[in-house]
Amino acid sequence: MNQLKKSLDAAFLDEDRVFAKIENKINRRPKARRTFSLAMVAATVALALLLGMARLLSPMNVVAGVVTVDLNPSLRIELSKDYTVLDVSGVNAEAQSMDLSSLKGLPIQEALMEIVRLTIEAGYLDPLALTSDYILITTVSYDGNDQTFNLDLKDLLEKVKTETPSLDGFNLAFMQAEKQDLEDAEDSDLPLWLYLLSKNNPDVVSSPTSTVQDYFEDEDLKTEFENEFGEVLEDDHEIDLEDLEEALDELEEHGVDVSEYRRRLATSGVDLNALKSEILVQLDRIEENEVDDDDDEISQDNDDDEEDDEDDEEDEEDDD
Amino acid sequence: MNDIHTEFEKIYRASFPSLSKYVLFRVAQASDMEDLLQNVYTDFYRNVLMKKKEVDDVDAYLMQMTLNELKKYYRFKKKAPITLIDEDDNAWVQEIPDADNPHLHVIERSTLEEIETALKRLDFPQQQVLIAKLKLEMTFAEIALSLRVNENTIKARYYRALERLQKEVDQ
Repeated sequence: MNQLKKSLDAAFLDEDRVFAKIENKINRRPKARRTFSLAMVAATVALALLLGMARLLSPMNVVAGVVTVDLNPSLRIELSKDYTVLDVSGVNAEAQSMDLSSLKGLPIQEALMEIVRLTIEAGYLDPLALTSDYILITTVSYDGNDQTFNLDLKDLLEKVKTETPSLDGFNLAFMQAEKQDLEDAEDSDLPLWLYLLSKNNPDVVSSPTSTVQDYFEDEDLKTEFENEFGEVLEDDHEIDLEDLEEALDELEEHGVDVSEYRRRLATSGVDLNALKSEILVQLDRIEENEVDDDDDEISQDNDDDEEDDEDDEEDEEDDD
Repeated sequence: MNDIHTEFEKIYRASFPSLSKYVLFRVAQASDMEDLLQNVYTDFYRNVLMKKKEVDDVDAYLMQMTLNELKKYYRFKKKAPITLIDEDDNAWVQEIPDADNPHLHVIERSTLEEIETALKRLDFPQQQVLIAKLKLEMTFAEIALSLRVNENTIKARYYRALERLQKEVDQ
């Protein structure tokens, strides 16, 4: 048994080896400081100035267009001609509560993956690949005659979806807008997508806080979107055991007894799609309960406010 | 700096076994275990120890960091397919003491290098049960509980892993 144990120690989770790797990582420092002569410092400053000026004059530093990403949070991203993020801002409260500084300088594909990660971390999206959430991407070319900006950008972002697993569980919806729409949306204090979709049909949006998920969950609205506004790239990744296990962990965290599901999942030949449907029903129930709880809280808050108002009125009458 | 390093090593040595056990049952392939733990400890060193952040319960903090790292892992790591091993009927499984296991006798006669190479060729669920049983010294019942499967399933997986390992070292 000694041989096998020693081999296992060497092959997996070797405490000393992992420690050495961690040490290596944390000891990776910037190169040691050197002393510089005055001439070297002056030359460096001059070079930096030249490079800075060249960068400022370069078209790569000029905003070529904007992409808005709405998955509730809603973000507005300014892009250079080569689709690098020049600036990013939150359009709604959810996005404004997030630290988006890490997105600057990233190629848009990486920025999109990072946005999804940050959104999950902030708790605005569930990380389950089993439930399909929507991400609406609206592209705006600053040169209205240059359609390649919009088309190439769409291609790049579609590839993130089709060639990496990072957007498993997400449907991507695309639409285009004009620079004028962007300015009008800003004037009306609405996220661009909400402004565009409600422009011709004000009933589409029941409130300025409507979310992309609410919109696409309505089959009629989704059809209307596909017919009139843009395109939806449906999530088509195949559900695997790991996806289902993640979902079961989520159910368990909400107090659901999942032992029977786990037993079935461990059985070979289990029908994953049937299991998926059953687990989704349970997840929906949890979501409905959470919405009900939120409604109760809001209603309770409203009741409290009304009681406070009544108390105030009574106090005023007493004073009279 | 040295104080921080000494403190870090102390925390690492004390928490590594429990975090390893936790991670072992939650990743899709063996190579991800070490990567994930490296990230957790490196972040802990940089964000907690270097910044002198006050942490009341280090174990709980590290566990939470591990959970967060796992969430990122589930979303961004390429998922390896999990191989389903044929474990339909495991009611027959009887516990065989390791000393009487014929596969183990053959394996033990091989060199460390041969065994290590063979171990890396096993499916992850088989590697997982061998690591848990022999390296982390967990019982079949504990492993079954961690993986939320029947104890007989784990026993069957363990014996099949040894059988396959023997075949691999024989090759």
